Amino acid sequence: MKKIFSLFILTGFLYSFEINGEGNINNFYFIKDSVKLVPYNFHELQLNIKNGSEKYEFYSSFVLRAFEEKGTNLEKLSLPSFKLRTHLWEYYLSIYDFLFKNLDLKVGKQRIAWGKADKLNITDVLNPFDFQNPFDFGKKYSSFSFLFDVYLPKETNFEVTFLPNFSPPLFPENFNFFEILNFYSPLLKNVKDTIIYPENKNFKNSMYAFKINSKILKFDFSLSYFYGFDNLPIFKNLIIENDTIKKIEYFFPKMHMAGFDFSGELKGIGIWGEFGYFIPRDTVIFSLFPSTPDTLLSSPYLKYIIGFDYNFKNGPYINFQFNHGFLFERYSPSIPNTLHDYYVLRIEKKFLREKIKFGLSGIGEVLNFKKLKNNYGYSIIPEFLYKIHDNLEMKIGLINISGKGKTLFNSFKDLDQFYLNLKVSF
Amino acid sequence: MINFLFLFIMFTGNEILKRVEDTYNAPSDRVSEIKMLLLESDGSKKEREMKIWMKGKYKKLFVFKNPAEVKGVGFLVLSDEELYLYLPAFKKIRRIASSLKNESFMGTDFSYNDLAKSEFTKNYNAEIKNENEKEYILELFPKPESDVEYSKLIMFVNKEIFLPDSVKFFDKGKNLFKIMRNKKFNKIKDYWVIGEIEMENVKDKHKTIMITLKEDLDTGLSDEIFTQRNLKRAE
Repeated sequence: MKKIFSLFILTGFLYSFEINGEGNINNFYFIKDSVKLVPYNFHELQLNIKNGSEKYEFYSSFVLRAFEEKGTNLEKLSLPSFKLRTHLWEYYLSIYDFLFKNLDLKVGKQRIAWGKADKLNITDVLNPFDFQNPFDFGKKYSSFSFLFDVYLPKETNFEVTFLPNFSPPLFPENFNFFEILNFYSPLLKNVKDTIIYPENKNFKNSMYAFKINSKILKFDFSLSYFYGFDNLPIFKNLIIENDTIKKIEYFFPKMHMAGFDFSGELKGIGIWGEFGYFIPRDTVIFSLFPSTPDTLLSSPYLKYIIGFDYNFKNGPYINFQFNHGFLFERYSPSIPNTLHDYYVLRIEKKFLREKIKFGLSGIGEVLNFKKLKNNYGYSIIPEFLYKIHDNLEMKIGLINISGKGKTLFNSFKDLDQFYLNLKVSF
Repeated sequence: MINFLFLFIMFTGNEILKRVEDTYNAPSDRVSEIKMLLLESDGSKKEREMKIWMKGKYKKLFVFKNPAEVKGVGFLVLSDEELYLYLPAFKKIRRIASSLKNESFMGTDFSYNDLAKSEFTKNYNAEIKNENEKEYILELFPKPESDVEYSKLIMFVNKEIFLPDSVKFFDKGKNLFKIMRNKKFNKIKDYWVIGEIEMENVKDKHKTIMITLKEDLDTGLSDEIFTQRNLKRAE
């Protein structure tokens, strides 16, 4: 009787919420035999619930990720073949006209997306990266924060964000992401690491941000400022014994970022730009060998991305971006070429009333045009999307990567792969 | 009686077009719940549901309610050059370049422009091609400065209510491209409004039927409805 009553209450409770979500099946198949990684296949179920009125809204999103695993010995063959990770991806309460009219407060674990560029948003620094699909660049996780948003006349609003705690990024489940990136010296591969997290016991390590959004001559723009932790860990210490590196300690350095972005159009062509001026607060000194200390982070640096898009009548959609300083690149005064230039192109063409879409994406980088032969990297991604029915789509694609020299894509070049994604929305 | 008197007044094409535009835009604002049926040439059918807020000639907000894959997608029109799309999955508002405005709106037979524009006289010059007992037949030619996707429109204007019974759209190659048929008119308060629109793409034999499920007029909509703040909230 008690169970029936509980079920009745639960049903009534859930009925008052709006529920939707999606399921994703992601499969990746490496092409080259030389790849040492296991495929990072993972499948995902997302469940969103929402309830609210004109005065408030409660939203929560649960994500269940299942990572395929294989037993490495006879004993482990009996284990389930999936590693499950559950995330309370977002939960927040939005209160409209909080304290006074035109002040909104949104409190909880939330995604605050900054920047007007397409996907590669260099000023989008409030939330940590989600690298669990390493080729879904720009995907972000959520962080607990208080967001105050004041709406002023003339389509202007002012945002104040307070993030009491630091949230770390999500790295791929089955391999060392830094190793794949070839981020630092090859000497550091296969060395044990420890991550030192900022302490979250008080407000000492809190982060905050301000942003003003407005419009001039039909161009939208925003000015922003952030003070907090860098999303990606960096070396703090190397423990060296008998001239051998035994252990690396990583930490998350603090930084200031001043940002500016804009979007608008000229003669039917959509244009945008995003600029981030980063001022590292922590000077990081590490040495591979005590005789050659090296400063990794200390000087301010500028990263930017500018782009345009255009729809040809009954023809393709073209989107081009030029990016100086990729999402996870940092400047180092003592290491040449730490901020690379990237040329990003996407061409799409839809057929049969958006039932079929062909896409071709390409990212190219050139470290030195004079020595092009040995200083380039690129990735080409042809993709086919088929909407099987409403709420059901299939995506297949090929990621082809190549490069030479110290380019980002050269470090990925063994990871050529086919991918398949099936998505159902409900 | 007034309509009867109009039968004896000689109008120019542009005057009739102005009256059509005035009838379209007569309510100061409107809030509508819409069902869209997308009919494929093989007989299969898809459904879309959305809510639309409109104020004056320009301000419009469209929010999809169904199916699940587009639920919460919002489209805000502030002027001819200011169109915004909100995609809930990315928690982000994206500005749409005007080159997209002539493309299909979410797979329907309406373009973004078809839904966004209600200023015929700003974009077209009209000439009376013919008339019969029930209708004026107008030919509309784009003004040189307008950015419409059509080379010509033939509009069959209902003489009684000054709304089009149907409109034929010709592409830039001067071929018949789409036919819009207004299949049902409703009188709400003192206004004539369209209750059901069928848009047929003649080339690929695809139709979209837009049925108004509910419509409220002159509700006193605030300008705050048509803001980026509300675009996210309307989800």
